[in-house]
Amino acid sequence: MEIFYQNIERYLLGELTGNDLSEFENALQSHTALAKSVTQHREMMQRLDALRRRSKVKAAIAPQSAKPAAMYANRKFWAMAASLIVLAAAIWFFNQPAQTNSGLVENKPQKPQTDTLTTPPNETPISTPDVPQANKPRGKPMEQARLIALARIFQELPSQTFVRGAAQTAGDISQKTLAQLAAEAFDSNNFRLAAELLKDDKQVLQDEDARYIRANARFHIGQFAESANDFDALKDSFQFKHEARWNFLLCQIALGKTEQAKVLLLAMIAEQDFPFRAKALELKGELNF
Amino acid sequence: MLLYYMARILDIFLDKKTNLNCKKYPDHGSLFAGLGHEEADAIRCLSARVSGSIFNIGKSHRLSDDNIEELICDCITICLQKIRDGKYEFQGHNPATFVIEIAKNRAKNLRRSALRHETLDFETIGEQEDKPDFGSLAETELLEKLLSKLDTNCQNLIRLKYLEERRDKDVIEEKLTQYTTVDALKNHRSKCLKKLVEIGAAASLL
Repeated sequence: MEIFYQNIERYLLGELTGNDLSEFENALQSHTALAKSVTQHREMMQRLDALRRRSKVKAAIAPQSAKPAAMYANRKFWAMAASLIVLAAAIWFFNQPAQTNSGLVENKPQKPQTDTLTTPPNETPISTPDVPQANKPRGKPMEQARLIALARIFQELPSQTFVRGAAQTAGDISQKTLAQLAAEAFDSNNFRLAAELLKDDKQVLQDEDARYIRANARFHIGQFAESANDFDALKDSFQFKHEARWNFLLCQIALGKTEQAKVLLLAMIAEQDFPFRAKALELKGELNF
Repeated sequence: MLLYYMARILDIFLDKKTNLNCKKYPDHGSLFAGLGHEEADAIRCLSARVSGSIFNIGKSHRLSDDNIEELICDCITICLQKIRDGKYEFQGHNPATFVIEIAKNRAKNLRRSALRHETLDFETIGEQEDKPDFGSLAETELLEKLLSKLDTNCQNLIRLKYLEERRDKDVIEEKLTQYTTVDALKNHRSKCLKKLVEIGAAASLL
């Protein structure tokens, strides 16, 4: 009888033939215990086959992706990351024309620009310790760029006559003061040099012309906070008070201080004889105040 | 909206990956045939085609990532089993559709069986299961436990034959066991299988 039990596997694998097979099948008919054991063996072999198949599937899938679900789970993360990159690229892209436009506006009444807002590679940037970076609205770079562009468009520039007059000197170049050299640089659209030459407050303390040139030069190179200080200092100037007030307002706009700018702008509009009232009205429209 | 489009773009990349695996199987028929032969490439192709959908199904049933991975594996195993048993015959449809249907039912049942260990059913694909799904994670883990109760020699004999599908002749030639003849190998394996059946019966598995 024991031999039948040993032959169950061979029987199920179809390896029994001839007399061995017929004897086994006869025993199967008459011995229920053997029949039950055959059923159990069959199920065990099916289970082993299922285990084999599952291992095969697992092995086949594994090299393709160690964690397929994780790959799809990360899909959301990657989609978000990619979206942010696209968004950042879009912001950068749309910021570009705004800067270009402002450059064009700067150039409009003057000679082609030789200075830029960016720091030249070998030039030490002018230190800006007093720049209130916190005042810049970091969350809305596009809005910030638009405000700066608007400020540049509406900037009241010193007249060419004034700049050239300030640059004039009777003697040779060695006798020129820093203020005259700065005016000359300003006239040549080298605003950075102009601001650099006059960076010492002593140079402008007693010289409103020099301060006015420095204020405008700083405005040109994007040092709006410093520019605002200079224009603020000129607000009581007999010669530059209106321009100073106006440009101070523009500095506030460029710095993103729209609330302060709004108050100043509305005050200017309220003044019927303010020389830049028409500009103020136009600017009000642009800013939707 | 941007997120949606980025997700679609990622889907295109993921689908590209699918296509790489499916080059050998340009139509449903060839994929079905490949699955019938349990070809690794066919399994990979099917997996790549169903993973995204099954992932979504799993998530909608609040399954964990690990459970979803097992679900993918289970469903493909079941599909192969049904092809082998002749319960799933090719009728021109994409095998992926069949697997996704299995996944839908299985995910539903997995959620229920998290609380009560029930046998899964596949009613919606028109088939009644009369036995547990031997290829599922739970059943295969159980069988692995039973196998581990055998001595090392028996484990080796069973694995070589049933899990690695090695031919007895090759096992002898390559000296993968202590036996020098095929008959001796068969006799001893037969005893090992009997032991395994007894262990299984004692554990109420059979």
